[in-house]
Amino acid sequence: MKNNKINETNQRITLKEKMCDSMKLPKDIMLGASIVTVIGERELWVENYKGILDYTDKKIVLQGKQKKIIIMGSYLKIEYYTKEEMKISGKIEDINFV
Amino acid sequence: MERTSVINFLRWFVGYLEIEVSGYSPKRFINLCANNQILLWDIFNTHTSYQMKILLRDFWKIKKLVKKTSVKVVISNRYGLPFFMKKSKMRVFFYAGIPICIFVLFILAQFLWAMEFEGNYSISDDTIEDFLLEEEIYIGIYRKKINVEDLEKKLREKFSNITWVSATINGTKLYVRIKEEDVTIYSSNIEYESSSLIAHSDGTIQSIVTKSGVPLVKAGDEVEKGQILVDGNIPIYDNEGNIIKYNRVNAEADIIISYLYPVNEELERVYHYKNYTGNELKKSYLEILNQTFLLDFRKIKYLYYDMTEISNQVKIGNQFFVPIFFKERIYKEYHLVEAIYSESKSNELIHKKIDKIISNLEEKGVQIIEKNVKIDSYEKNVKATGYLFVYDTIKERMEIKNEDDGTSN
Repeated sequence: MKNNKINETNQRITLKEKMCDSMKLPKDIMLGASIVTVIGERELWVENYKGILDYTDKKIVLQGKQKKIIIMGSYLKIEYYTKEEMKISGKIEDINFV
Repeated sequence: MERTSVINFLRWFVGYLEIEVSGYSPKRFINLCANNQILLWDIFNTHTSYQMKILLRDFWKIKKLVKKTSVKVVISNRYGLPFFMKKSKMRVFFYAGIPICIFVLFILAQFLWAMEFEGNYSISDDTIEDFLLEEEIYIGIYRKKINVEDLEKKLREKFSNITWVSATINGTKLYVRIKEEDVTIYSSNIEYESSSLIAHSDGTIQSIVTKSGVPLVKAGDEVEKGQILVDGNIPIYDNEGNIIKYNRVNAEADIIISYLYPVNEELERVYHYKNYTGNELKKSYLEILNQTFLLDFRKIKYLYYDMTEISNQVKIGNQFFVPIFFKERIYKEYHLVEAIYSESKSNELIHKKIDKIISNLEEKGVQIIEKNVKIDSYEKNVKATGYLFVYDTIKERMEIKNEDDGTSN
């Protein structure tokens, strides 16, 4: 029973995703997906997130609308931080979605 | 890059703070700031606390959030104009100077400070400037007084060979762009109503072809200077052969006259030249509104010197000319040295002089048939004497005056 439910939700997301794909709708709005833009290993922009969960100069954890984004590196610095967008600079080594 | 510098300037203009946030949950504080539309930038994590920058006007809004998240906020640095103003509150004159400076600039911008002419070849800049002065347009005039269209019209009227003219005021500078006629059309350049052709020199008539008027000489005649060659008074006879009246015309004829053109040139063999010693003195001046101020009181100790002046007008940007000139005068010392031309050199120079006479004559349409010039060298000078046998055309005229009644001859 429980398994079924998980399968169902998975199915539903993929269906929604498929719809977005076929109708060419922007996924960041429709699915609430975060946009992560990386230039080299020095600069990183994040859009569509809820807030910061953790911040040290080696690790930044952001709460996206669906998933957490973990950025690992060194000398990490938040250049600016607003409700819509943030920019992180420093040496970026790893980006994870959990 | 430019955008960030503009943003940085705006931030500086409104003022911003560097704050240190420590305590229970600084991360929650940052999130709340973002949610409350408070901009944070340059966020640093220093193990014990978070350092960040915040606009001065946002700083007043975070009090509530500080209480909510129970963090400790310490201001570590202040940046921007509001703080600078506070710091320099006592500098009254500095602040008073800003509006005064803007005001002076504004006032100065109302006047014309420079003129530029373009496209004038036969009309010199000076001529145009003199004309503009007559029209009461000069440097220093109130800009709004200049009627550009009127000026264009007047320029076209005054100078007949201008085919197109455009005057614009750009900043504090007047631009006059001119197109001149490429070919000047010579309409009849006889300024008399009726005239006779006269000899401009003694000589012999070589040939004469009359187009209008009554010829008084024939080929081979000896004539004197001032003698009438073709008369503009054409007599009209009645049936019995009596003159009843004269028809007055401008006499026209192709007449070739030959005469001897005397050459009498002399060249001093002693001459002076400037021997520059290499010593020079630079003096600076400041000219404000035609008043010259000396910035340098050194005396010029040279006996002979050349002076060169370099003038720089102060301008702001490309267009805004200020009536202030920085001038530099360079004085170069020299000694006058007496020298004597060698014989070959002096011969060469006198030949050049004669060649110049010949080319001047040829330019006027005179044909040189024979050259008979002797050059004698003396101790002090060189003399060239002799004559040129030339063929010349007759162009000189004499007006026939009304009171002459056409019976002068």
